[in-house]
Amino acid sequence: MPLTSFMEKRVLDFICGGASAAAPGGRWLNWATGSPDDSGDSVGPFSSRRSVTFSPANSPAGSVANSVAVSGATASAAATVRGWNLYESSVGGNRLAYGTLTVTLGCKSGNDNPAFSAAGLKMTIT
Amino acid sequence: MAAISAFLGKHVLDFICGGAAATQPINRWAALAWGTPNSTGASELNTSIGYSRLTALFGAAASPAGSASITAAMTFGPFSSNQSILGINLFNGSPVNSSDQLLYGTLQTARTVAPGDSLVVAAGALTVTIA
Repeated sequence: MPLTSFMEKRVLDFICGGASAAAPGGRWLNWATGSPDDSGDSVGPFSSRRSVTFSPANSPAGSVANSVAVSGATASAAATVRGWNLYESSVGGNRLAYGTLTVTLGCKSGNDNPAFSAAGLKMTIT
Repeated sequence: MAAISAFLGKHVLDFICGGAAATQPINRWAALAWGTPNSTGASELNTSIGYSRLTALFGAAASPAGSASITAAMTFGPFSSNQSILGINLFNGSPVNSSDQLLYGTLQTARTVAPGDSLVVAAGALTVTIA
């Protein structure tokens, strides 16, 4: 489960108590045309971030998934979606986590709306 | 597999993703293990040998390193019997055989204590890392 350095510190302070640790105020997703990593999000030409609602985490499985489909971002140019990023706000803010898709998505300009179905975005502690 | 208990794993995921309320541990107590601890068993030492859990105090996590270490030494003992010590756990409370396991791991070097010995975990020597 790739967390950004920002979120890693928050999680460690949550666990260990060495500093205050506020939970993210929201979770917003955008699409990446590269493979995002801790140094960059490789954001593609999509209209806006989309709100993500997660279900309660499963225990002892140690996983969590989105409870509602995430969709609605329109491609402003043809692009191939290869990954995703999770942010704490709809604009600006800190990036929380990122990942690459198991299958890339080819999007046409102005028509296609990439989406995660409910339970399509899953994060696991490994 | 990450050395995090199922109990804490759920709270961490809920903290990140917000799908349910996430309860932060109020305290952290270090607990020594005679065996290799895992998510189903802490292998904690017995109190009859002069052992008890100790408060673990951590400093603010380092970023981008992704780690947090204890800021004060912990001195276990003195022990009244010979005992091998292979691992260490973190719980959210005390005494022995109570509370929820949070994290666990094995010592870099296993130790064996004799009557009269103490085991010191120096400040900075216990580190939690996100890999």
